Amino acid sequence: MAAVGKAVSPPFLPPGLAGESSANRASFLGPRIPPQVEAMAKGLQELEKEVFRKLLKATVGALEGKECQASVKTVAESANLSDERLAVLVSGMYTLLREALRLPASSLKQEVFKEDLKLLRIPEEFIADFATVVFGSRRPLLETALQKQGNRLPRIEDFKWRVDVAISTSSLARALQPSILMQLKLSDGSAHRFEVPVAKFQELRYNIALILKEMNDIEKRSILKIQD
Amino acid sequence: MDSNQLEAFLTAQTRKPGGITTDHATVIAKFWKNQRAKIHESLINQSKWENSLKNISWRVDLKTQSRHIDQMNSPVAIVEMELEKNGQESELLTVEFDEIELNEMLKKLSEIEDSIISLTQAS
Repeated sequence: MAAVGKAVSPPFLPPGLAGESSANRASFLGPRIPPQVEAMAKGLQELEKEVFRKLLKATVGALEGKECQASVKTVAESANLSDERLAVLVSGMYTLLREALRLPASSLKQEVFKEDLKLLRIPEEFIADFATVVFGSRRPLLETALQKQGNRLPRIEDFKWRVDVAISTSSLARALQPSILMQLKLSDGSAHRFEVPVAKFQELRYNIALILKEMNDIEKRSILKIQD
Repeated sequence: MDSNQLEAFLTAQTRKPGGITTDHATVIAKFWKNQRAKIHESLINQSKWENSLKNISWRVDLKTQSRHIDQMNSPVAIVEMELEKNGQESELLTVEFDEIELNEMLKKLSEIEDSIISLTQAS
């Protein structure tokens, strides 16, 4: 990717295409257009629509966290794309989409997005396809996928429980006291098994209910509903 | 051993040759009455050797921004559970929950509670 970055010229603004608003407004991609996006825009010029659509589909799949190596390979083979061109196209499309999806739909308007892509000399019909991905019905799905990529603590993947009543033990002829055995499987792959005495169990249940209530309160307050 | 059983047992002991006196019996009866629950609990604890949940602490965070998302507004709960290991240092288990996961958890805990209630009422 570094080699590609060096090969392209510094950010350009074609004078003829710059509209009134774009003169004093930075692109949504930032003041300096990522080199892979510029290289991709150049590479798009002589690309068939059919191939572009297939690559776009694979890129969206990658954003959703799917494995897309195989599908990209088949597209490249059928369209006879060199590895280098393929890398430029896919990484550029990926960066462009990720930057666009990062901004909330309320602050990046579709017209602005299209205008910015026009400035990059991306062909009109491809711009429409990009816009469908960013502003179309898949948006919520993509957003959830992106949220999952953030760093996070392990979550509970599987929760098994059993209520035990020990009837008789080595220290007590008749115990008959219920206790709970829990087994948690976490998303980091670890598993934990532990006993919970009834009193502790009530505490746990109370606290989980309390957290849920606090969470609802926070959502109602909506501390951060910044719109721009 | 309930109080009737205890009384019968102690009376039998006072009648035995070389047994205890009635004063002793009263003291023992009183002691047993006061300490019965504690002794029972301690013996129950002796028959547990799995890791057991010792403490819970939690925090609710509001996620606001990340590398891939410029603005977000989603609360997460971070729950830390201290698991006591028999004779070893306790282990901290930290997990994250979003609202949906919390709801699921609470549902399961209610199931457990129902099952405990049905067990304790039956006996």
